Amino acid sequence: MNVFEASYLLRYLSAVIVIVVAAKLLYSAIRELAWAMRHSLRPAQGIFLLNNQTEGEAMSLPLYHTTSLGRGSSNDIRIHSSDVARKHAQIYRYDGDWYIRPQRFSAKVEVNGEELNGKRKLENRDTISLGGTDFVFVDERAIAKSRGETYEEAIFDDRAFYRAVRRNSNPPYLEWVMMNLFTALCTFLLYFMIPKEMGVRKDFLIWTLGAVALIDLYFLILPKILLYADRILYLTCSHMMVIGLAIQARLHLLGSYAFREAREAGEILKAQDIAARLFSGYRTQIIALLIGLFFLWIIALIVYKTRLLESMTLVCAILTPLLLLVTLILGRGMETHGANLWIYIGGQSIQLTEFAKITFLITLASFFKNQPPLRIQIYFAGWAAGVFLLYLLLPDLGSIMILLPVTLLVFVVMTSEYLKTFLILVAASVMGVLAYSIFPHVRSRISGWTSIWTEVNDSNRQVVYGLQAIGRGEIFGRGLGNGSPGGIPLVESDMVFTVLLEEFGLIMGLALVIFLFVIMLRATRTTVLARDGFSSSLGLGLGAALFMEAFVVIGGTTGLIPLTGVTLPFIAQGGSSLLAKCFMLAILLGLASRHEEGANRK
Amino acid sequence: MKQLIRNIKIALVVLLVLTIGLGTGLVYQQYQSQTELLAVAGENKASLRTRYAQAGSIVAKDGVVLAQSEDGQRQYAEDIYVQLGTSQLVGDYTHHMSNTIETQYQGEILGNKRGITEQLLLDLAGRGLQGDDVHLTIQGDLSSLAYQELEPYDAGALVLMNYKTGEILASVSTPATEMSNIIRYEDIPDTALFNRALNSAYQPASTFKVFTSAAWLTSPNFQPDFTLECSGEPLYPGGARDKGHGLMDLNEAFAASCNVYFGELANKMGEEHFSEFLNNLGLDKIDSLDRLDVRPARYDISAGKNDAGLLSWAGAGQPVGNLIAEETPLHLALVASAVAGHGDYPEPYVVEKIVNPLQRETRVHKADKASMKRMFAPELAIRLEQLMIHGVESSESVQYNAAIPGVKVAGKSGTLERENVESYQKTGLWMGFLAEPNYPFAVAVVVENVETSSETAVVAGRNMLQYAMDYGIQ
Repeated sequence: MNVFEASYLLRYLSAVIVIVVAAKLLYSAIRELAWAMRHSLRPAQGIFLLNNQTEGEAMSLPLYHTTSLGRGSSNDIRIHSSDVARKHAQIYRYDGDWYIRPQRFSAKVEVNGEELNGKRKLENRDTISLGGTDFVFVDERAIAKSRGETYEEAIFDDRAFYRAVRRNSNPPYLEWVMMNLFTALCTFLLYFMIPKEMGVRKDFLIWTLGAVALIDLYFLILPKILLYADRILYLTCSHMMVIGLAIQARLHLLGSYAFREAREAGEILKAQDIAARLFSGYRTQIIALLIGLFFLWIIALIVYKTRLLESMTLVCAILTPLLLLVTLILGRGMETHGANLWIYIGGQSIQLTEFAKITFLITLASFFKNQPPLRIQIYFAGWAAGVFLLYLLLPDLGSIMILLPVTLLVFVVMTSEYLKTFLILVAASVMGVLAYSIFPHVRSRISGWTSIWTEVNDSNRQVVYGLQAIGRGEIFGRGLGNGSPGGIPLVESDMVFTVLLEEFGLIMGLALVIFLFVIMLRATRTTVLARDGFSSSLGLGLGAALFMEAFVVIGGTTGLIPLTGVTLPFIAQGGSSLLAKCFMLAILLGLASRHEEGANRK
Repeated sequence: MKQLIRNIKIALVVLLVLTIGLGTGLVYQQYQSQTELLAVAGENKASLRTRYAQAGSIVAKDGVVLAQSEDGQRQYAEDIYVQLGTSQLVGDYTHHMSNTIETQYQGEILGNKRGITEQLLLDLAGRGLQGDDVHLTIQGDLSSLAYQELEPYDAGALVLMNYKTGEILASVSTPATEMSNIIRYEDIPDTALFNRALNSAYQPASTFKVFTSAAWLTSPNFQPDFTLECSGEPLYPGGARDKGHGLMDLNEAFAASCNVYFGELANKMGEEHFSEFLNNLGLDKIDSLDRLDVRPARYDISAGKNDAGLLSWAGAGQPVGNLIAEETPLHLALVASAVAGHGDYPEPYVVEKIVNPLQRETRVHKADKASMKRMFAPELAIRLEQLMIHGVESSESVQYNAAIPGVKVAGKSGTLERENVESYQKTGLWMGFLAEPNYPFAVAVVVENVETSSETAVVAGRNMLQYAMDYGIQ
């Protein structure tokens, strides 16, 4: 039995590994999210409202990081008065301080007898009047401070809560061991599959094991770096990273006809040159991963320990369109596959649009951290429309397909504006129809998508070839190295999912879908457990962006939706994409680790 | 905060639906791609080379390897004539031809169409990656000889089959080209990728007179002693004419292929009976040979209903005007088989068995009585056989060239004439069989653009029957 036949046999083992890991991670994620949901309604310690009742009695009303007040039943504090609007006001925490803001223009809110037009910072003992109903804002920390005392009880309670969070979070050691088994299996097979004559086996081993060792090291020391590290999230992304390493090594180092022909023709120097070039492609991917991992803990720590992201709203709001403009101007004339998404600096191609997604999400989170009034929503809509227009001009339809639903999701979750969301969806559909009639590349994508089962043409060849590869994979795949990815355009990047399915089978495809849902669940858990609106909003946005990106890729490459140039997170070739995804993971890890103490730190 | 939790729950439900939809869609799209996109025109040629690196072989009945994978390369029959004689049937791994064994049996050849247990057994034996071997009924030597018979002519097709079992022993179409040209898709002569034997719609010309005779013999207006003085002139305005054969009865008219006589038979039995007879032949339902597509036969002579002249042309087998008669060489061979088999013909097949890498036969063609189909009543078939034997034995007939000493040969020839701008072209056809129980072979030959009417086809057919006697029983 040669190594390729061994790979064919071992495909069953790799299928078992990925599906067991995916199932266990999914189970843990669901269980912990359910726990978090049950325990997430934790009022802020030492901060509350007092409401004067009859006969001199007062009622203490808890405050959350975002507390809504109004007549409607969905409010956290419901006021039964016809003078109070359904959604009247909101009290929220930002950067350690507490603010109040009317929810609509007609909602009359007075603080200490002064009517509000916008937000106002709340101080201890401030009197709040909402349509004739009065409350007193109480900050026990301020009271303790004025007395020269320390407010300790709240901190104890908070830590106790997070200890409970940790108790309910099972460290995924079995999954980690299985991930390493998968890596060892793939590395062993690839080592012997790579033609010895290429002379890159040793380098392959060193670089691959180096990257995997760093991934493992982070997994082990993560709790030491971040107090409440989300190891399930990290391991899910890590597993995608090692799958990416295996498939990229396979695509770069196996089955090169150019190398074989040069060898057979006796052109040794040419063969060596080809081998070096092929290995360089793989090494670039690993270098991007190593850089991403290096910055991972730094960014995670910054997010965890500081409020730097919150203070970068304006910077991100400017940076997002700026990055797109730079790409539009400098990438002109360097069109690749119908889009100008790359710029070249020092011989290296960089895709700034990948980083623009992060700055977009930070801006989005800042705008919607605590139910912004209509005026702020309109500002954001104007800004976002400009950004989407730039994406359309690039053209980067893939990013629009990711960021538009993410924006809507964050908007509706953070504001409860279901009607507006529906109207925006209608408007987006109209815009989609307009884009179809105006932009030829949109028409080309749609026509290619609608004809995949009837004919093979230039518009759909990529998807049809990909689907043929998926079909060949069947349930367990052909085994690593036994697929036939030749001829599939952009097989290392946009179409990498199809090779995964051909070589690891449908099982791998379903496992990846589960991994993505796990990422979404972990991001949701962060949203639920966060103690401030910004963390909630950003956590949700990042998780949804990773989910949507993979959804667009998998849907596109399998012909379920029109194909756009988007890459599969952590797996597809592309240094910029991999770096950006590591940054997103780092921010998510940092957000997940934030706690009351961190949230209060200015 | 309560709102946030509620909104998150709703969002999660939406995302869960999306996730389940994505997973379900993935399963569905994979299934669709396996059924719709496995071998389509415009397939990914670059990947095929890798996929066929460990593909199974295609083996002829006489053991000649028609296609195999060695050292990661797909190779075709070593003998160039065998390669040319089987090229359109065996096909190429690049699937430039789609109606071939390589394409239609791709799943088996690549080992993708196995049950879980069988696949596991093969995996454990270390043979899981290898494809299954497809064993054909085709014989390499006969295919080679058949190609050489047709090679001198512009184009043609030949089908040789065993009329007792339905095995196709040779199915050759010319022009053909070397497999290396097809794989590179270079230097390919016009129509060399087209399988005339299975897919070309030939007008039957005088071979159709077998049907006219059969319809007449079953007609209510049948007159056993009907004779006609053939002057060569048409009996109806615009009707069938010929060179003037003199007094003709059915036997002599069949041997001489007299258009005037058969034109009159068509008019005597009437269009209605003739059409009904043609429709009941069932040849229009033969549209496949195992998984290979076959162009169904088509007969429509309704245009002659109120036009005696046109109907007389229909009886002569010359579909002029709006008359329609089309059939492939395979259909011709089946008609010969039905006459030889006293009315019954077997379902034709070309794939005998499929053998997996552990030499287990996973699919074997079972020819039995149930697979026999009836085209003519037995007594009618016997009468037709007599006519066809007489046709070959008649020294006046061009079919006399088909005679093999010591063996009863039956047949019917035809010549299709077509006036072109550049030349006056003829297509010669012949269907025949050996009326010998030990040599149950039937043949159909079509030779295009010949100068000597059907003689070339008759000689080629006769030679093939002779070869079949020499090599045909494996």
